[in-house]
Amino acid sequence: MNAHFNTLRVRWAGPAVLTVLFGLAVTPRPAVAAAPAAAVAAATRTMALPCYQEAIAYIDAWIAYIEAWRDYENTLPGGTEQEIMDSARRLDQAATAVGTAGWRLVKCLAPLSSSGPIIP
Amino acid sequence: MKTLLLLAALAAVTAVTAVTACDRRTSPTENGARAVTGIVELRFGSLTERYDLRVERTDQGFAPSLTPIGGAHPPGRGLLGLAFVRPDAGAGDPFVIPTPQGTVTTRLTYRPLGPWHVLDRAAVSVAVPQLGAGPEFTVAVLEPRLVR
Repeated sequence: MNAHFNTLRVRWAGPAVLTVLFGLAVTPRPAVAAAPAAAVAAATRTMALPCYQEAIAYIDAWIAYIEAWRDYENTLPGGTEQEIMDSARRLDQAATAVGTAGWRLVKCLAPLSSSGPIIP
Repeated sequence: MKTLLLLAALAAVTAVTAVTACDRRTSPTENGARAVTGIVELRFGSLTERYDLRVERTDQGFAPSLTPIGGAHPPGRGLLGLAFVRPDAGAGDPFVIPTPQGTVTTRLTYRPLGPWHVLDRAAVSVAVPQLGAGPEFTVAVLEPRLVR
């Protein structure tokens, strides 16, 4: 057994191991930097979820409607007739925009809910 | 023995023929349905728009047409491709799409009508952390009928 271990004690073994360790230490590692938050957000916005862009458009239109509704409610108490008419018109336009965006979203999702082939 | 085998073979052939005939009887082509009509109602907040719907069965599939009722806006060309009629009911599970602003949830339900399934209701709801939940957007097909 001792004779077997002695066969491993060769003259070049020590320098060889040291060379490998030194090589590993000085080899540059690929940079793994943390992605900035803005880049992550941008990637999230453009990710390839089905109908993701339609959902984004819908929620944008929906938020605009909520803002138009609040504007309308604020105008009602002391607003002039013209101001009230203007805010009512903006509310109507915002609701129409939600309708269009919602229709597009439903149209995009309908084929995905099928359990079989969709015939257009 | 030979006679018995012959009788068994004859019975098997008869059964196969009967099953095939039943299948053909329930197929859309022999059902005679050519189209679906109804009223499409679109609702959101104070907005209500209605359209006369007619979906023709063609060789290529289903071809919908919408005619505005009252003061409804004419539907854009891009909106006509909505699958109002289709061959199956679908899974029925809601689609939940998270976005940076909030979450959009859409549920589509179809109901059987003759050989096909017609859109019963599509509802889109939104949950925004700062604003909470607001009005739903819905598209419904009312009074769907088969045209033979």
